[in-house]
Amino acid sequence: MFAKIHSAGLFGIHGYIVDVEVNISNGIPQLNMTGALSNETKEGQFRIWNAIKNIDIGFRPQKITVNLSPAFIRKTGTAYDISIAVGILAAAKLIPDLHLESFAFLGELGLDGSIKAVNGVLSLSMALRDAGIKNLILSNENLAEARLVDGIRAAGAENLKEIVEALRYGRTVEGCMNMLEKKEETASFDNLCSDEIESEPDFIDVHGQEYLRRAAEIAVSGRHNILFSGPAGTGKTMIAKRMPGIMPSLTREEDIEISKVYSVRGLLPKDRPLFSKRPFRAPHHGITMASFLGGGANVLPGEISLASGGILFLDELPLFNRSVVEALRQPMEDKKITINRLRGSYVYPADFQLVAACNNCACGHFPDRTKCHCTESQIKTYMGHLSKPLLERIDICAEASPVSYEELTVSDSVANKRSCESSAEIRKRVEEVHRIQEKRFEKEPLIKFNSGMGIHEIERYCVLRKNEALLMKEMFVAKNLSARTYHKVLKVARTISDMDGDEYISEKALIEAVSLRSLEDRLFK
Amino acid sequence: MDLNEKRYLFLLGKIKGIYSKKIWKMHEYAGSFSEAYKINGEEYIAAGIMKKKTAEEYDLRYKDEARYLREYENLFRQDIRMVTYFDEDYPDKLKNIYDPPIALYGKGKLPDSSKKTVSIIGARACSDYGRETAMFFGRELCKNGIQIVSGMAEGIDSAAAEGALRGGGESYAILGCGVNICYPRESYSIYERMSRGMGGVWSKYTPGLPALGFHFVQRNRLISGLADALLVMEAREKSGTGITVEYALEQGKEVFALPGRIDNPLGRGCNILLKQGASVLTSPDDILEYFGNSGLKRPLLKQKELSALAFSEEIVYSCLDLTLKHVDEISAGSGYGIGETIAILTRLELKGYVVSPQRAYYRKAYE
Repeated sequence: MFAKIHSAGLFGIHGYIVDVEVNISNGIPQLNMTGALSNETKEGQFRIWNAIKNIDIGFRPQKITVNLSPAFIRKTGTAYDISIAVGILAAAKLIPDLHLESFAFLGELGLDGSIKAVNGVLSLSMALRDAGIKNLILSNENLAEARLVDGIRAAGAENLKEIVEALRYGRTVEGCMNMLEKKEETASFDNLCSDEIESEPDFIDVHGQEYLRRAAEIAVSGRHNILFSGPAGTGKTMIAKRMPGIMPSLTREEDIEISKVYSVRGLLPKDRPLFSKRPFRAPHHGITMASFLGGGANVLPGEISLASGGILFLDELPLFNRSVVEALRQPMEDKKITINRLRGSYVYPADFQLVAACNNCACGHFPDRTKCHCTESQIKTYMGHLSKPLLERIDICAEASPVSYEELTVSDSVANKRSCESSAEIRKRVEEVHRIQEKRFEKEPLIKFNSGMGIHEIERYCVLRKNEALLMKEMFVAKNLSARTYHKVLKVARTISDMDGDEYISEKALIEAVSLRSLEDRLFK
Repeated sequence: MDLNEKRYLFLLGKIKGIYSKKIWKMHEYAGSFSEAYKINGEEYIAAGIMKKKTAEEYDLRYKDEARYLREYENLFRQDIRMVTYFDEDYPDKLKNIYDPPIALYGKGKLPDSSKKTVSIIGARACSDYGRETAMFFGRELCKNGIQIVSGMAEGIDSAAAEGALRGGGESYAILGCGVNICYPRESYSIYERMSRGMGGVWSKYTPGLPALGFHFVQRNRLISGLADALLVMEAREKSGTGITVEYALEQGKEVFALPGRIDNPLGRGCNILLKQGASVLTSPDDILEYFGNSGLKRPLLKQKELSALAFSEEIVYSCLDLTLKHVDEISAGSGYGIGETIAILTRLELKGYVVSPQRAYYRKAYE
């Protein structure tokens, strides 16, 4: 008496088909499970055994063998529970196995037969659909997420008993699904996205700090990595938090890519199947390498993958563990992170924009010498903790002006003579600049933004006219720039000119780019 | 002084816990340094010159004697001079203070006793304004034939020395450690120039002695002792500068203080001094006048030629002063947008009207 049921497992953020094979034979009653199972998967036998007993459908103890195929890939998680339970019942002829090959099951079982949610349903459903499976049964909590995937019909169930009844009395595949499908409508993609950034922090709340606002807009427009420096409590974090809100709206593909990572980590919001906003991740500076890059026994995506498509914010950059910060270099170049294990390589996305913040000294008040008593060598030591290789990958550094938090938030302060723009207005401009860049890099498959330009592209797209070239030469000497800084300045100047709608780089853009140049020339001579 | 005597003076100075004051007493007791070196600790205890702990340390003096003698012979190789109280070139000004150091070690020249000497001191963690002003005073006074003495500390001290050196004058530093040690390291560039002859670096401590806290009090005493006038640039209410000022008043030197803003902790120390009767310092002329040399009148800040500037540049320039201002503030004051303000400021900077010592902060350039 043999039965085979489809399920799916996670490898990184990608799903793969797992076939649950169940054989029941005569012998001493026992349940043996094979297929490179992790502890939580193996423990499933007790959940399944009790669930089957508690839904009370007259199962007789027999010798059961369960194999999760392909047996050489390590299985983790509890999503196989239902498939195994259904497989056992089918092998015991308690449910007809007529249509079972067109179903897949995902979910964890409770001892009473209740069905619980699992992580990574988005990736798993996509894998099942790609394998040609048409019907998916899972917990009600996971239903909305599974329905995002076109081409597979998903139905939810409260209890194992509901599934057994549907399979017994549904007659056809259609009938089974109809029995399970609830009348209540689940949200479609469109109305899920309508209120996306509603509760997000908005630039309209930031008063003053024009310089940082401007720098933030330039950074987002050209996807330049940026470092905010300046005294403590002047709104560096406040502005960084608002940067995802001025990035272009998500396309559905981007949203699904982001949601996949969040789904695998089980971090999707309870009320929505999609993440539906640009991520903002601000890990604490005590973070370990594994939780930053991804890893662990089950190789889960880390902070940099969670920030993919949005902002990775490193507050107090000099306090971060040096090796952690330096490990950012390779993923920043590749836009993805590869984690190698003996069993295989896991590839997670890491297409984030880096925003960092630091004080100018340990006490946080420099250059305000009325408050800062740090010695020159203390300041040097503090700033020396910044990693040079990382600074080389940061195009823009902006110094915050010393205002108090109250000034920043109180709307009738002196700094707020000008009207404050909302994030939506800024986003419109940013989207326009992104369109210009899209057009510019049509023929460059690897480059999407000005920040991605290499030396060849800079020579092609950042041509300086005569006046500008003279000015650049003058500033190069006066400000003691290095060759690397020179190229970064040109990239940023290109973005600023794009924002102004200029075809060629203007003098003003060039000067602004120089004033926003990175710190490494000053710190490392 | 007899070379043999000098050698023993050096050896005495090398013993832990024995400083100038004690050597004076030992010299008085024994008659000469060589004799003083031969007498053992017990006798000094009996004479009330040493305490038990110092005497124990003193009795171990023969252990390292050979090494110290080698060090003494090698002084000239490091260009270190040793000038004792009994030598002709010992500065007269120090002879007149209480407890003059029995010997000075130094690199470079000794302050010229025929020239007027001004010491410029102040906070280590000073503002950009304080640093610039110290540099300005150092430079202008040097140009008028005055030599500068400072402590080579970070901030005001080293800025004054830097200014003096740039003014082509002579700058002297008194250290709180052996003169072969550059403390703080950040001052290495001025240390190097001063010890190469654009002035000198001197200390009452034997070469090799590290910088210890209580050395600096003694150093401050010598700084004020060498000066004819003491200039305080920026000081907090309680600071090392206060100690130097006290010594200066004790030694009968004139104290000048730069007036500070009442809301600025760095100006508070100066304002308190002014309240107590220090002279007000507003321009290098004040010092020249005090020395009876009221020559060239010059304002602190030479007004730049504004006719060469465009209208927008003039507006932005008028929003600046000598303290650092952030771009946001300048932009709000001038009414130009951020991008435009930066563009104008950078043009002014390239023309030499404006400087930006800190990113995104600007101020008017001196002269």
